[in-house]
Amino acid sequence: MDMGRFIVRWHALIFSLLLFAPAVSRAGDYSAERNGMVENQIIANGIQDPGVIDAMKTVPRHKFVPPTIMSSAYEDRPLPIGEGQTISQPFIVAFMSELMELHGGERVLEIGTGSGYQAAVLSRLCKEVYTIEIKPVLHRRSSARFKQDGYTNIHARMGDGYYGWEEHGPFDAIMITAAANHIPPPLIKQLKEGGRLILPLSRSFFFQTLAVVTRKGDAVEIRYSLPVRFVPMTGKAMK
Amino acid sequence: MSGRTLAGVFFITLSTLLFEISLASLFVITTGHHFASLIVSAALLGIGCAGIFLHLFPAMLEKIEWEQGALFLGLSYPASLSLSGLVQFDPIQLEWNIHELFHLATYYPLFGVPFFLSSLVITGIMKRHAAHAGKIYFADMAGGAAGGALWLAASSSQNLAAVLCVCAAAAASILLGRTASAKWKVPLCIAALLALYPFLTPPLSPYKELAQYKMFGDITFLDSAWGPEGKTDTIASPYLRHAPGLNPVFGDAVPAGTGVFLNGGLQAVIPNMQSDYIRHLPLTLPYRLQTPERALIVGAAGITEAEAAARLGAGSVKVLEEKRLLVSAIAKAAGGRYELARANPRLYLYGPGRYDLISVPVAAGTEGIGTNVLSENYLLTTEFMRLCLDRLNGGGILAASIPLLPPPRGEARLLRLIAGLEPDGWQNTAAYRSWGTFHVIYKKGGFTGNDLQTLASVAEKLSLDPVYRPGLRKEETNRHNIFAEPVYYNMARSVLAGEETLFNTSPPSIDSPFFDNYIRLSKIAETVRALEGRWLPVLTGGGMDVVILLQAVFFSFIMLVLPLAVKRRQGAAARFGPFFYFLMLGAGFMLAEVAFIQKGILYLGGAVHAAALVIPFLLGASALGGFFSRRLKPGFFVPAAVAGVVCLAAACFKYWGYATTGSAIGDGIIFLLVISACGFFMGIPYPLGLRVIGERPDASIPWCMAANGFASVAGAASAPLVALGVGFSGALLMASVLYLAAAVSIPGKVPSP
Repeated sequence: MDMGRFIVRWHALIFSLLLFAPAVSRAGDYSAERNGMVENQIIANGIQDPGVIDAMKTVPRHKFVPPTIMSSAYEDRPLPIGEGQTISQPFIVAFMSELMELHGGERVLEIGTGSGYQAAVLSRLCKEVYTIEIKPVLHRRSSARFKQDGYTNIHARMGDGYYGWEEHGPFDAIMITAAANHIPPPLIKQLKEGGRLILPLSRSFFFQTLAVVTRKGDAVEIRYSLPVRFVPMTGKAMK
Repeated sequence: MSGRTLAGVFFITLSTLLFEISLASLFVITTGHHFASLIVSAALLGIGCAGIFLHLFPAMLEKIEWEQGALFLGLSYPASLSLSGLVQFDPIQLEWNIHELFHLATYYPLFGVPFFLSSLVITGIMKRHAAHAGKIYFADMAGGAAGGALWLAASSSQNLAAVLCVCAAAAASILLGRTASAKWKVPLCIAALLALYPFLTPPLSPYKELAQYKMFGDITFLDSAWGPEGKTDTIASPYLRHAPGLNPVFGDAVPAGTGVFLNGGLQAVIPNMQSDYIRHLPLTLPYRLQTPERALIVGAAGITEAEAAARLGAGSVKVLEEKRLLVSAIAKAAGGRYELARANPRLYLYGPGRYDLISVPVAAGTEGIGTNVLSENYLLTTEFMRLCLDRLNGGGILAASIPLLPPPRGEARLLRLIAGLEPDGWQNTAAYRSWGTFHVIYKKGGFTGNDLQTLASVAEKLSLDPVYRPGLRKEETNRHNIFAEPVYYNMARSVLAGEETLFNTSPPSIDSPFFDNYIRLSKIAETVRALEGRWLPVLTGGGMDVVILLQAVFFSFIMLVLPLAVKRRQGAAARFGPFFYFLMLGAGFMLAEVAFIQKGILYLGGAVHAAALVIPFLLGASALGGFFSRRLKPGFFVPAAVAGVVCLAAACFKYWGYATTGSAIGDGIIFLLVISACGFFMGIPYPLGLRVIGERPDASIPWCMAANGFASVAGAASAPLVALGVGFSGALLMASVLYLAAAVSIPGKVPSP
């Protein structure tokens, strides 16, 4: 075979793969990928709560990411969702959910709806989820997704999550899914006695430690858990 | 050779150096410090490629019109700047996306082209007039010196330096022109380009803190200013709530403050007066122990602490900051509420003032916290802390804070640094941690029983955990901010016992002032494991510079070796001696220059003054040395003498240490005299070598200049890493050894001038 024909065929092959491979993947419901994610990233890394494992198996993560990166939805990494925000790595979603220690009857507040994926997972683990997003675009997008897929126990609103959602408090558990400069006092006030606030704690841009803040009367106990990194996904990922 | 040609060389180098510094400072402002390494490395490629190009295609030396080269140089500046804005490099994604390396690599040709053109012209002129190497070198170095000085003068305006680059290239083109038509074409091209400049500034990286606040919206820019230190922005944002280590039981919302940013990073927050949250911050601990009559807070981040000190009844509270731009921005934003002093902390403390409390507070922003491995920090050094201690009244308090960043390493280093100030220092030291900050307090003369009781009760009220204090029991620790194990208490015990830890926690000194350099190379694998595989902070905090340097050195090495292979294939003998000689000179010169700049931060009062004064003085003195070289005969003794002088300078700085003449000007003059003496000697070997090889029939000046260019920039980029490993004295000694190696390989005899 001469070199010219070889190059033409090679390019044709690559073009075909690029053209058809995503279509083949999109045709399915990604259940195989989702099960693989749960086995390899969630259970293999020590998540034991059967409720959390079941929720991670059920909620279609690919529906919460932009269509252009749908095929990467079940990879072991955070993904850009626009507006400089990310959908967290699957393990972090599962781990934070497990730290909430939910049994099914709780009222939960989430600060930072983002893609809506974490709220969707939580909605399978508790009675009501209240979620607040500061970015209008993300709020509109996630609310539409909740409505379309029938997440009737998720209540979303747009606003500054720092002040919580006092009308629906106190909450059994609160989750902050963005790195915090300090623990917002209004959120501690909206915790029930013994309630848990989960958040990534640190003043560093790149290093945080997941912490569980427990309200004990007038006192507060902070327990450090896993070191994590909530990178503000920006740059070209925003575009 | 004509004076016009020399003037052309002068303007070419002036414009290139001005472009390099302004490009580096612009990208450091908009993107991050690693871009300085990238630009230096791209210059390496550009300069090296020009030499190789002329070596491989010697006929081009006759074909290229130098005025056109200079004109293209002027055109390449805005082209390089505008095209670089199109590159979609995302440093954070580098961790999981290998394709980002290709995006990173696209910067090299974009930034490298101006340096290629500049080097093409200078090398060509040098080759054509090899007998006048001393004069050309003089013009070249003088142009570099003028470029450095001009940058300082032009830095208060956003685009002025960039505009001046183009103007200088245009001047060079006119001076080098041999045809009348060039005189018309050049100004027209330049005028068209200058009109484009305001649109060429690269956008602020979204990873900068300022960009993060902009993304949330509702931001109001109250003030912006440019200066040698970069750009300050003062903003009001409802989301700018600054409460480092705030007691979690404080019940009210923290009101938003006014933020002052330098180069996109948060430097100070002017607190909102309407809330009492300030009393609930851990930084109030030393003020609750005893109320100082006179307190000195070092660094702009201390504005929040100054507010707390005033509320807790401190008498006179002064905030000391070295950066003029920051002082001016804070003074404007705070409207005279705080007493600010702009001065070099070391020189200020050598003054007559005595204090009851001196504090080095925690940084206001979050950029690179605990990861700025390559950044010099002359405050958190044994010498500075000893000076602080000396300036305290009896019973006075020395306080220092850093962010809490498990696993404990910076915290261990700070504790060791402060507790080790005096032989019985551990008896005078206490350390506490909040959920996000770490605080060490040292009481001159030691704590009384009452002091220890007060500390314990205040810490309890602020939800702080004790890490160390005399008589502390394990069960008292790890109660509010709970780790699975009392890792911080254990750390303090192990530091006190002098046990070797995984991390390097030895106290930094002024010879190696790298507080965040905690990695032991011998334990790198264990370190990565301890960080649980998180290597991104290493990448962003200095590792990125290494990646960039290695990438550039690899490409350049290929480029340098290539001609050797080609010439051998053609049957020509490539002479390794001159190549090695110029390689050693380049590396030695830049290693010394960067060490001088880093050392100058201490003696000249800040990084900007150091860069702006060391570059012109060193290059100016080298220019004189180059001019003087015409009177010398080449031989072993010349580079050997340079090695001796650099070695003497290393000894001089080591002996000088932290002493002062008592005035900033006096210190500065002595420092500049020492480096100028070095510069004079360091300027001699290069033109001397060029004169020798220029006389030879097998001369390969371009290749030797390429070798020198390559080594110069590699030396510049690797100098901070060398200093990190062996300190500044070590870096200067290494430069001395390189000059000795050059002495051994100096090219043979040359006819007397």
